[in-house]
Amino acid sequence: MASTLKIPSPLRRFTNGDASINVNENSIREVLNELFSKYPDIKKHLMEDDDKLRNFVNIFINGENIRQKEGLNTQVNNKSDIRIIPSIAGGVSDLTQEELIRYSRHLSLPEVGIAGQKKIKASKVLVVGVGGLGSPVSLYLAAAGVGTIGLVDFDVVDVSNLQRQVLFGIDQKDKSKIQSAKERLNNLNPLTMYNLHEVALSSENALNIIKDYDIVIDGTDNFPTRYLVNDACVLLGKPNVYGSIYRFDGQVSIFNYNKGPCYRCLYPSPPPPGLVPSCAEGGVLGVLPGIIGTLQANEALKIILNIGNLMVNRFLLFDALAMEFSELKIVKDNNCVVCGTNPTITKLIDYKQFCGISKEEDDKLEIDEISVYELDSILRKGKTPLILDVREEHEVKIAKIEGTIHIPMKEVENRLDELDSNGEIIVHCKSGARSAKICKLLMKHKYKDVKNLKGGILEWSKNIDPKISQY
Amino acid sequence: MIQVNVILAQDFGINMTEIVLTQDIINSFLKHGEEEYPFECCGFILGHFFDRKSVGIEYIAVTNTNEENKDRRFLIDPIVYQDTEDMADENGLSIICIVHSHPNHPDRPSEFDRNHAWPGFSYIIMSINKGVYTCYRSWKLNEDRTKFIKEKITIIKEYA
Repeated sequence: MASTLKIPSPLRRFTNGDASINVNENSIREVLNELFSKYPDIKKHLMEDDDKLRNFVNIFINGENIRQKEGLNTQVNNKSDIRIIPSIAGGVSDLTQEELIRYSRHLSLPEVGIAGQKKIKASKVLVVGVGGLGSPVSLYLAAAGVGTIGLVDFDVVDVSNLQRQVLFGIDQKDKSKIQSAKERLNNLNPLTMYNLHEVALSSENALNIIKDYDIVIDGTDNFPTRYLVNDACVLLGKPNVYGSIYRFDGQVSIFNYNKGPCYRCLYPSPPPPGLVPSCAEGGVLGVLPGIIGTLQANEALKIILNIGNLMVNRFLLFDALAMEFSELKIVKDNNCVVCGTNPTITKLIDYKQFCGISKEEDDKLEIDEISVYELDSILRKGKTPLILDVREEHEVKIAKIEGTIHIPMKEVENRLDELDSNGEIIVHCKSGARSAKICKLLMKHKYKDVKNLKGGILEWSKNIDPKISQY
Repeated sequence: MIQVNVILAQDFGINMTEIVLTQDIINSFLKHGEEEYPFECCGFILGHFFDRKSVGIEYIAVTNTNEENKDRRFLIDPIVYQDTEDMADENGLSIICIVHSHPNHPDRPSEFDRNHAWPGFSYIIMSINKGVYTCYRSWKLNEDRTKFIKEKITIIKEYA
């Protein structure tokens, strides 16, 4: 007796409307071949190119799925009831309706699409330093839909940050940077999760913080942290999207990714302390971190999406004045102490010491401090101590305390002959940090009576002489 | 919104296929979708196939047998499909359409829907937001399985 093979309704277009055919053969494969010889157009709907059953097609014999039996080799006995049954399944997209609308301009890019947006949503990016670079990086990554963004910073918002750190506004003055950043980013994209690490990244905590992220964005402004981020990324195998800015020049690269170099391959050792001034000393064009930071965000998204030509083995230089982008080829150094074939650095070290900032030596020297009120009262009594202003020339033009001697920080060591080593010297700068360094320098040169003006000219303006501009 | 459609679906203009349904059938599946919320509901429409048109006669609600994530996926037991098809055949009808709901998602086929769809069937997807239906559309997979094409839904009061 013949068996019957029943055709599902959507395929009856190919069988002239017949709902079933009688078959005689003795395995499912032969039954199907009989069907295909009779109705050739039906084959492509049931079989893959390699003659396997398509995964959304089920064949049942007497109520049992042949996948649970011997597949296409399952034997057909007489009077068997053989069925082709579509697997009927479906479901929602993995992005929510809100996400489909929010990211629609990404979804219409074939290079991103739903699959790419899902990758972005699943990604975790750590932004080290929420300042000039960290602002555009975190804004654009949040806007793009990165699922988890970690922020590392321990500073508070200063009015002088607002010239370039576009995450913040005047309302956040003196408030925590990362708390303020979270509020702003959450408003931009509440679908992203923000992890706040309100600490100074250190050898003790770096591995623990970085290990939970896929990509690290270096938005730091100092060499110890930059080497720390680099080494931690190498030890944990994380890509490090590097950016740096100074005055009118910016740099971008991706380190430690796809067998490319790390930061140390390029710069095995840091410059001597003080040689490269910080942005506070040297200045930076406010737009520059916007340009460099968005380029970092761009590279991070390309890593997540695995598209395009990455800045790996490449080092981008941007000159904002000449309006020129130029590019250097860089290669991995097999002798690199951290990412080479025989690394000597296998755990994090003391990066301040490595960069020549000796903590112990610093700590030994205790600096005398003087408050703005004490100085004011001394001056009112008619005394005239030597007040040394170590700020840069352009700062003096903005604001100065009358009766001070001005020697820019970098020149002090060469102009010691202008300063009496036995008399009292009060050193000041903008906020007290640079003047503290100069106090130490003077003490090393055997100056006996050196005091740091606590809070610098900012404090003086705030509490003693409001006519002096704050900057 | 429009850009998303371009990826998975395409408006076929004057060559659009058509599904004709009564308001009763539409009310039945919308009610089913709302009742099953926050889970996905699924069902069949039995009717007749014509050249570029199909006509629905009856909506049959079936159980979503997906165990793990019913809020995002549906699955119809093959035996239920088999029995429904037998019943349709006995009454001179065909399964013409698979209906399912997208809780809190649009009435547009997902990539997952496309991978599991068959050319020939109509696929009606309804969007149920916070327990209330907001919209529904009908789709047909093209023959090379690359995309869904929107289908015209004609609503009639009842069959003459």
